[in-house]
Amino acid sequence: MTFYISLSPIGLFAHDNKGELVDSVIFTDLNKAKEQFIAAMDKQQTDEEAQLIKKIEKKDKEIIFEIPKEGYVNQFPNISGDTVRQNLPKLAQSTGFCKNPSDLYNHIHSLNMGITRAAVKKASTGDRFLIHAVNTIDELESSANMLAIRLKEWYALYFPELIENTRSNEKLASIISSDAHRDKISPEDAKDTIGADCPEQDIIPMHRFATEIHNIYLHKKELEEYILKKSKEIMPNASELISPMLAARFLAIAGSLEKLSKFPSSTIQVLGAEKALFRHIRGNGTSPKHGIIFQSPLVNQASRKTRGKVSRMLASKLSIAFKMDYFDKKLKGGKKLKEDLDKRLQNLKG
Amino acid sequence: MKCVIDGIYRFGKDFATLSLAPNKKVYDEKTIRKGKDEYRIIDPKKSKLGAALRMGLKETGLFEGAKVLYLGIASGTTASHISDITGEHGLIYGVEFSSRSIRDLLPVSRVRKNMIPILADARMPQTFASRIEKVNVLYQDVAQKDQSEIFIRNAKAFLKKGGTAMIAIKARSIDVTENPKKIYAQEKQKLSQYFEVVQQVTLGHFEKDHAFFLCRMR
Ligand SMILES: C[S@@+](CC[C@H](N)C(=O)[O-])C[C@H]1O[C@@H](n2cnc3c(N)ncnc32)[C@H](O)[C@@H]1O
Repeated sequence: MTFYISLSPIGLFAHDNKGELVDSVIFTDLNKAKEQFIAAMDKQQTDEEAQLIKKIEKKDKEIIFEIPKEGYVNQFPNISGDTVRQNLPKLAQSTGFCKNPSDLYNHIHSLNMGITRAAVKKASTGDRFLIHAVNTIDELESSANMLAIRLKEWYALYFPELIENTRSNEKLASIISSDAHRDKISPEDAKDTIGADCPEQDIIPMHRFATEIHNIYLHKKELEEYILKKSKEIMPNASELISPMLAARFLAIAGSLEKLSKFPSSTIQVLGAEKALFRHIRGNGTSPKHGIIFQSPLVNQASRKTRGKVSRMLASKLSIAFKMDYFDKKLKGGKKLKEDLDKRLQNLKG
Repeated sequence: MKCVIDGIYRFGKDFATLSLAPNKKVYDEKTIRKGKDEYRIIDPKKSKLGAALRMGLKETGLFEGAKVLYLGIASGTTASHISDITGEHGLIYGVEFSSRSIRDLLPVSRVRKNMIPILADARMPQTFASRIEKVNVLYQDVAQKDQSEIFIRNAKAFLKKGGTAMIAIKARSIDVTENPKKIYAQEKQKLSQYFEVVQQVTLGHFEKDHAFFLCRMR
């Protein structure tokens, strides 16, 4: 005969195939229960569980678990779990776990608060930090550019020639922040400028503002260095195939390393081109051939004819690399993937 | 003010629940005070249950002391109203797979002791079965392609015979190109194999391309 085992908030239960209770281990307190559940999530065994299994195997019975367990058959739902879930308040009383239902419900509440708090803590993995950093880069860039528009209008009252001659916002902020006086920046241009002559008191706030913008650009550079390092740590294999920055961008679009590891290579190939893809699905426009994968020089420097093929090859290698990075970073498969890819690219060139 | 459905009160065109935790708003819902009592209006733009009531839902199967399994509880907007209805003798097992959303649910469930937060994937009932019991009511709002299948699998495992099951169906999650009416019909057929479909309402302008089904387990 077979015995069925199930886990519940109040303990472990064993039932026979008619749903008759044959054995149980009741948790002595909240912590014991919490330990059991957390162990079950990590596929570990607790003393309580070992105790119950031993008792049953002594009777020479086969065991069917409700939760998958290595070395045992499992079935969901099994008759033990069904029976327990149907009668939990009664069982809690008859086994002496607690006197009245409200005690049981307080126990269930505390138990689940505890398990869920632990799970939330564990869910804040390194990839989440990296994703925020990537998104912050974009936000810093766009804030800096927005502020720079104001700076240009403002500073042009005083020294429009500098604005005309400086294309890059970053450069401009850097120049004005180091010294805002036009005769220090370019004595030549300053001599016959059409900008207004103004007292020191007007120059100080412009200098202050430019410094603020300059600092945003510096901050962005620092963050980029952090991302490079972190991305190599979290996605060592993908970072062999594409730049760590691009790998981080893939991650940010996917939302988590787990999700990224589950994408088929066809999705990886068009990731970042969602708008075009939806347009295509609705029947307007052609299907996009590549999303941010195009940012890889392997793709954007390939000839027009081979580009589609190259991006398909790269996507297929990437999908393997992301899986390695998610399941086991210690796998050093990235190098091999890159060699493979290079060989295929050589063949493509003929 | 009139109690129109178990635990649900009507104020003009609005529906509300009697707060289990007065003075503690869960989202930015409107509240109405009547002496010591505080009623929380169910915002139909934020809660599909609220929208369904506004669109003519006649019953919910919820009652004081009911046990509920809520799939896709998010940060507890709708569930907080269900928590009001089932009261301190009821229990809501709330399953959500986004750790970000459940982080926002934790402070709500700390105050409302009848809300049980569970971080798990509704597609895999075997992963949270040992944490819950059989329930009187199943409520699901997960916006997934296989939402009806998830609903049926969970109802079979956890819903008591004769229990009520509500599901919000988002047509665009199932197929972006297909006509929503066609999708509703096709999903209704799937549900009918296991449930008696008691009422179907669309959520109108409150939620585009959504239907809400109230079913009874056979
Ligand atoms: C539309 S929101 C729910 C809003 C909520 N019902 C309310 O009215 O307050 C859908 C939620 O379902 C969650 N979800 C989607 N698929 C899920 C799954 N397979 N398991 C658990 N939760 C899921 C999403 O993370 C999201 O929080």
